[in-house]
Amino acid sequence: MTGPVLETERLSKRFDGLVAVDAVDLRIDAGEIRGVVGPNGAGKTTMFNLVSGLYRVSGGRVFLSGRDITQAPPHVRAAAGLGRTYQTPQIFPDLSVFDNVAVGLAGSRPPSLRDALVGRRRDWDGMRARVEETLDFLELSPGAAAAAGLSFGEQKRLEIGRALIGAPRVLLLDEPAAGLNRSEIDALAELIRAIRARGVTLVLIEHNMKLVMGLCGLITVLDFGRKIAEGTADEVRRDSRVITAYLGRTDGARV
Amino acid sequence: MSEALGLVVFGLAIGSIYSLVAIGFSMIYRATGLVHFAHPDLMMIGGMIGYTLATRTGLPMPLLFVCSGLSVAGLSWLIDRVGFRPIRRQAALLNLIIATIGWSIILVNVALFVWGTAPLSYPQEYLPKGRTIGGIVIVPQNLAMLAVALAAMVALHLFFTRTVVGQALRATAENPVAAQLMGIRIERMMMLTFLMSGFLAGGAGVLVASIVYANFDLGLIGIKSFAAAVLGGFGQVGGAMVGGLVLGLVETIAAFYVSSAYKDIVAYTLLILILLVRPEGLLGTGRARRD
Amino acid sequence: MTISWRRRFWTPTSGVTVAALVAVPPLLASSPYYLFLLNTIAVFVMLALGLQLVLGYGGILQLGYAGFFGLGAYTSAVLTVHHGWPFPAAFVAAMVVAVIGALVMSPIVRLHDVNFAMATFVFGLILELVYNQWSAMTNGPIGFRGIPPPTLLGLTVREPEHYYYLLLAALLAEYLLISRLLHSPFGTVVRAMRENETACRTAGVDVTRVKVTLLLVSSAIAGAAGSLLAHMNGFISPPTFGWATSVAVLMMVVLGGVRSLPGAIVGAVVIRLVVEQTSVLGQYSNIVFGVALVLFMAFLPTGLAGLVGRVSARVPWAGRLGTGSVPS
Repeated sequence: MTGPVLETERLSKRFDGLVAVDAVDLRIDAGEIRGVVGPNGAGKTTMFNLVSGLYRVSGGRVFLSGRDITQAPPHVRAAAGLGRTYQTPQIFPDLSVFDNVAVGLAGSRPPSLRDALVGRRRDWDGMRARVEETLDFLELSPGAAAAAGLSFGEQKRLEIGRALIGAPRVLLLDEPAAGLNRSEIDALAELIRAIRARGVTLVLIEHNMKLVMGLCGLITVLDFGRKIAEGTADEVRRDSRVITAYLGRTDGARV
Repeated sequence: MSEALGLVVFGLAIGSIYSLVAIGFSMIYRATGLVHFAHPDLMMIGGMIGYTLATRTGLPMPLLFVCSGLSVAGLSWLIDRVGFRPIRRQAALLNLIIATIGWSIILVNVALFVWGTAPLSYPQEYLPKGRTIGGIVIVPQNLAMLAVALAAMVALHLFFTRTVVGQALRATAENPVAAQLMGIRIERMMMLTFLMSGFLAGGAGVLVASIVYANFDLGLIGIKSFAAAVLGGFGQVGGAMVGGLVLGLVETIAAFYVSSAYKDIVAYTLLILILLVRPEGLLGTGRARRD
Repeated sequence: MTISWRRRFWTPTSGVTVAALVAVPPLLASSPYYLFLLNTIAVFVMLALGLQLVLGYGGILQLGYAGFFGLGAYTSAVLTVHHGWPFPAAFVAAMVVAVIGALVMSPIVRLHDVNFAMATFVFGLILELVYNQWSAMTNGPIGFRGIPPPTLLGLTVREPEHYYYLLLAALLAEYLLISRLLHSPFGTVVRAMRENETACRTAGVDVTRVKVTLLLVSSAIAGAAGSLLAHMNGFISPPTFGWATSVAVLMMVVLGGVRSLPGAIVGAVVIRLVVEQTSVLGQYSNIVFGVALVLFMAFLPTGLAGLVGRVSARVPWAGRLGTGSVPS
């Protein structure tokens, strides 16, 4: 009986008096596909930023496979097995598709000066193979052209590839379906299941309720930085507090 | 005791020179994101223009300040209009910074041509007898500098926080695209910035040059203003003020207790040490970035 | 734009270039002035490449580069003249001292954007002041005289032609070094950091360590160049290692085009020639220089390499310095 793979304990973030995240407790077990939903401004992305280390916590703690990573800088968390993507794909536009994904290896194989100077081509064959395998898995072709030329959907997949190549235990996806069309969303769902099948636990922030209900075992609902509900799709859908939270706002989501 | 007081007053006086230039420097950065290496040389030009006005027309000091200030304001605006505006959109920031270096070279050489190489002293009337405190001579200009710097800081603070135009300027600096979408005329804001900072620099130049001398390399003093601006927190007008005063104090104390030769090194080293402890500067509000 | 891992250095183009470079001295043997000029240019090419690495590829706004140039020069001078060290040891020591200097400066890598740039600028100022004022060691503004020509493997390199080959060897070694660095996983990370630092962090890159590494390498290069300059001229003085030189090298990189090694070389040659020839214009030379600078920044932002199309059309740092903002 191993503990949760990702856990937060009273996680909080204040910005000069504004409470963005308010004492959120999360327990995500291995193999889950967890959904995190809530109206706009509920603090979902802020929470991701806290978990991945881009923001300092105002209170609370973060645990990755039982290890307290609250004070660890982002790259240490990534190396420990935490991957993430962003709402708008944060890729490297001028780098090739290959290079974009290759950067994701930095956690497991830190780029070193000595390696660069003394290393031989074949020392990197293993890395090269992993990049190619990941690209293959994501149905992206290597090519030499700059990543800026990719379509939006391809850029999103590219970013997932960069996160995935580090063999993370947990993958945080921030609105992976945003901006995708119908068929792309279906493909995304397939991809997410395939990633889970590889042993990666996934946490999704999403507004696309159909996707969330279909994919996620458990869903956590945030509003005003606080967790207001948590449960299966059915439980959450019927929760009165959730309904109020969405109906009370002009920017609710499709259910 | 009076010795310490003299040191403090002198240090503050020197510091307020740095402050005046640093404030302008910070403003430009705040509003345009540009690190304007030619800014200290605008101060120098102000001092030179003041010299010419003083010798030709004998205007009283306050008027010299204003006239020089206005002239340099115009010059500052012109440089932006001709040099930066046409390229602001497509040029990389690094290129713009290098362009300011180019303007610095141009200004220094123009001063060389027009006024020659010899240091020029303002006519006697402009340098009244000062009071001696603790063996250090304090002249009215010193107090004027301090007063002007303080006034400028207060005025700018109010301007940036209370007036619509000031807030528009800040918004432009934070996020030009959003500001533009909100209907703020960015170019106008930037023009205003260059005018205001130019005025301050020109006036400061008169004050400095009247005490020291008017010469083409007066801009070297300005280099210390960079340090002052950074020390206080780059982009913070209040920080520029504080940074300038602190730098002036440190420098004066170092000159007195260590040696005049090493005062600069002491001052700069202190700057770097402070930055290491507090990377965003004394008053700076750095973005909440962790490393 | 993709740079694969480990590209071949010896291509027909590079082979011909190197051969041509090797053949130069005999052609110029009759005019020592040109050889001397060429040697000076070579030293600055070394500097330009070093700065290109840290600034052009790394995006680190190092404004105090000439200070490290000076660290190498003075270290080498002092060790050979005052302590009788042999040149090879002094040369290595020059690099070591420059690296130590960079290490001392390295904590500022944590600073935000502009503060970092200004801190490097101030650091350069401090070094220049030290060269001017620590007379006991550096002989102050008068300059350091009597630096002996280098002695390698029993041979004393006195003639400009021979010095040329020494410089050429150093240059080739440096170019190879930088090239290998960039064509490696390390190089990929460096280029990625320039585009999106935040994404790099969450992807597992220790950004601070990479930046510090770049700083150290570029400083070592500057130190080496300094040592070579000192022994070439026999005399060094503080102004050579101050802001003006930092600016000159900065311009070389920008002229050549950021992120282009051949560009940096061309930039160095052009700027150095301009600096040498400005005496022709007499009094007006500096103003022309300043005006040229402004015009050039306006009309050729991507540098000469951009003209040739080798550098991508995306202009770096459009907007604020640095890419450290957190997407929200």
